[in-house]
Amino acid sequence: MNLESWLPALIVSSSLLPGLLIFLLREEKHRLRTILNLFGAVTKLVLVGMMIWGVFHERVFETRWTLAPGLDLVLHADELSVLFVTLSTVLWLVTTVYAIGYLENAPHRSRFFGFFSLCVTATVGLALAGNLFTFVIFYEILTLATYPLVAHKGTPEAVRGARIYLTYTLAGGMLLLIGAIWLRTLAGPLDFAQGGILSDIEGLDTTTLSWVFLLLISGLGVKAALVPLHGWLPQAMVAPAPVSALLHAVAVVKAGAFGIVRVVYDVYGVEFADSLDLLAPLAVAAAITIIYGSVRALTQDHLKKRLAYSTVSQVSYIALGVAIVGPIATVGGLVHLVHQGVMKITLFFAAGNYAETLGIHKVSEMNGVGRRMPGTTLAFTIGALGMIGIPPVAGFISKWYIGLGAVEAGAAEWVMPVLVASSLLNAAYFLPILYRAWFCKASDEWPAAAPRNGGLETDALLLWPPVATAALAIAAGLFAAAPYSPLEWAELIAEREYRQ
Amino acid sequence: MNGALLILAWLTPLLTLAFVFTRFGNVLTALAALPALVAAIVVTAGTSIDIPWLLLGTRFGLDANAGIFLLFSSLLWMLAAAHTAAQTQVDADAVRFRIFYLLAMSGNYMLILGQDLASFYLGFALMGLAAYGLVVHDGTGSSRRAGLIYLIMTLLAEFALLFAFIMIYWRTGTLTPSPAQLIGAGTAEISLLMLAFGIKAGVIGLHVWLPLAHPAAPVPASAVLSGAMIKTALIGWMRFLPFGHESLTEWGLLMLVAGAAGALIAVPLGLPQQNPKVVLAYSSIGKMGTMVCALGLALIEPRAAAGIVATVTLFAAHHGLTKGALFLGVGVVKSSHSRWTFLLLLFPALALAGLPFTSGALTKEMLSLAVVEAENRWSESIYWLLTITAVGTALLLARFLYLMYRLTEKQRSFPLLSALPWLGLLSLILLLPFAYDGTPSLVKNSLPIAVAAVIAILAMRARPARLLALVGRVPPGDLIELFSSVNRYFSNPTDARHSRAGKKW
Repeated sequence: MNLESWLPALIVSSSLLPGLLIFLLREEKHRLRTILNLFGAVTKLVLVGMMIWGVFHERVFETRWTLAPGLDLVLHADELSVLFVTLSTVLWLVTTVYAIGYLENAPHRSRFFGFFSLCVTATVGLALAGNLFTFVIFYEILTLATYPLVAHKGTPEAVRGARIYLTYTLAGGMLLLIGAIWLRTLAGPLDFAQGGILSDIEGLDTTTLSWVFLLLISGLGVKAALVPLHGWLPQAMVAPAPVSALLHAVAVVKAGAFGIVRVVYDVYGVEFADSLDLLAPLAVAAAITIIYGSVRALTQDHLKKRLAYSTVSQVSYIALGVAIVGPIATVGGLVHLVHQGVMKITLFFAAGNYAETLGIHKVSEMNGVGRRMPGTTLAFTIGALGMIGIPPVAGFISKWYIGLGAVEAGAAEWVMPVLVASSLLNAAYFLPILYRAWFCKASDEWPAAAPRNGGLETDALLLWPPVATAALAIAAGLFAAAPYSPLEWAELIAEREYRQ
Repeated sequence: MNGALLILAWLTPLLTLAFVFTRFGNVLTALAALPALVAAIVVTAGTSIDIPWLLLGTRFGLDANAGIFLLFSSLLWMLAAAHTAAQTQVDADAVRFRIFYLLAMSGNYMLILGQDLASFYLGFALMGLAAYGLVVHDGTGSSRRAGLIYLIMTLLAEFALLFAFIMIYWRTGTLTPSPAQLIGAGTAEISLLMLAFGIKAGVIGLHVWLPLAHPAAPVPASAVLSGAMIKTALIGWMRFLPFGHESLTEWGLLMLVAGAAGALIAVPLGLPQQNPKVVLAYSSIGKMGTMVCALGLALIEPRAAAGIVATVTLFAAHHGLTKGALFLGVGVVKSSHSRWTFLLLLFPALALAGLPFTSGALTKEMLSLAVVEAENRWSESIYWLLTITAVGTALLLARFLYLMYRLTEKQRSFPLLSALPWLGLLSLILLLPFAYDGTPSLVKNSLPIAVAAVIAILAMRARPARLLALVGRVPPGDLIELFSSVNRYFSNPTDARHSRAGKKW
């Protein structure tokens, strides 16, 4: 019974237990629920801090339960899981604060925060999953825990959006499950290992492995919103803002992207996958998704829908970075896992603030909003500039490394035009929003302005989360070369992945 | 201390952002340029400071040429800001203007001082994007159109530069490549550098944003745009092309021809203009063309590169200050309508045209000398280009002065207080010749101006109908008119969603 074997389980339970307790709370127990939420979030942050330190010094954290012979539930901390766990934990804390402010007087708060905690538990669980079996378990839990959150408002539109979400993700989960079982029967226990595990196993049929790869990536691609599997994401924007924020930045979409990283790096191994010619099609799919998402985002007047299509595009940078062979592109893809999360959560927080404070849901209603809500709009601006790839915001670092990785892999001829086109498209759908917000004159009346309380532009619990994450997005870019930055950590992973 | 100054130079404008809302915001905006000026004067060339944890690991440093760029740029940023300080009061629009002004200022300094790819790029992007806020400031339909075209071109330049830098980094393996390490660049890399800086420099064909953005922006913004910001293209080329270490004949020839074309075409495109600021913008396109042409020769002749590059830097300093003074002068004349201000305006105009004993004559002479010393087969052509464009510049300035004179009236008093920053800039230009060596020939430099004066007087006397018919026929931004869809989008300048009371300086 030492820390090494318990820490991963503790990290998962630090959101699971508060979540279960919250389900039992009566609706009006506002204070107790808030305490439980924040206690869980802060505890997890402290535990993850310990884990970062340990993993950096190459200590091994692993919790393993044998359910049946050859079937282990494994929680294991390697550099990659630490990257994702840290992202989830930090953003969960911020989102919890935001959600408390957002749902101040809404009904069904216990149900909401209960599933919210379960959602994070599942995310952290799949981040720490040490083998494919464990990953699939948490992946399915995530699907189910998120469904009530998407449907939370209970309107016909919300129920419809949630049903579409569920149809897609359950089908995706099924594909993933079939792929995982198939691979399990071929190759035995699939404990993740840097450099992959399949290349060491003798006598595997390469054609079969290609089919399995297709199944796994299709299953994961649904959550990662790879075109043409992305249809649920723009529909799911009916969810409350904190849910959208978490869904786009950490939980569902990222779980898919993270799964792709795991399968390519730690199951197949990047060089082995490349030798099977599996990565080029993935790169093409990612490139198509990047362009398609941006093009669709151009014409959306609904702010959250525009952001949703932007997510479709941006998350595929991760897949693109993974699919380009070479340590530098790996760094680009992995660091974007963090950067996209921090920037996108900022944008969704801001969108939520506009909706809650002024009733603004559409881009065309945003004229002059910068003067009414400068803090929120500044945060939104930073997030948007980061998405375009303007330094010093974090997105620049991602683009730099993915571009550099493409040159390294000799793929610059087609990757660079994709990146340039995508950057220009990002500019074309984000900059008009900024122009409206800062340069246009506000119309006489906001669609549905809430009464102003206090000196701040909106509720403090709504204002500070986007400001904080915007600051993180700048810090991650501005201090990219500093110790413990996401970039440094991604370089550590790439170094250890390619050390074999 | 010296190292800290290199940081303070670009950090101070950013820190000043916190105070733009106060009632001293306008004064502080001007003072924000001071550390850069001090750095340009005090810091010895060769000083550098590393900040390993910033961006991808940064180095800020100053070489001799960068020192000159920093010197004239910081003077312009300071005096142009002082010009606004003397003329406006606090309102929300003024605050927004200051924010973008400070951001662009910081970016300008950062790219001059940034010795590594990432900080140079950050400065370039910051300056380019922040300047958008200056271009569209008055919110009219024509400014928004100018802003959109500026923004599209600027973003193109930025993404081109990003990938050029990625290639340089991949090839050299360092964020701070030395000229020797830059040898052996591929076609893609150099094409991207040409595109990125060509847009910024207003090289002919890529210049369409320039005659639109300059008149759209408020006067102080035009001054720094033309005086400081477009000059950054020259630094970019000087820093990231292997000047003096490798002869890139084809690329050099491309710059040479494109530069010469710009220098020549700017005159017929600029003369029919009716807005004095557009005339000045075309004059800037012409002068930048001359400098690009000279850099092209330097790229062909590595032996002569150091000399030409240094001379182009001095030429840029002269042009930056005089062009800045002309733009600020437009503001002073327009707000006061005083004949006296017009008379003072003659002075930077003649300096730019290259009147003997002015910085214009001296720098032109130095450039001719450097070009001839290169002993290249193109040397003589460029020498003649300099002579011919001297007439062209003088003609453009005659046109400019004519348009300005019409704005003045008798018995208007001289606006002493609000013209003070401008007078400061004028006295700098008066002193500028003493900073340069050389004894230019009296006849050779007077002749182009005399020729231009004769042509101008004849044109005004005779008023030939054929020439007059051309006035106003060349739309500012010329080639951009081919993309008529852009115009349709902005065809209704009083669009209710966007219109705002414009604020003019």
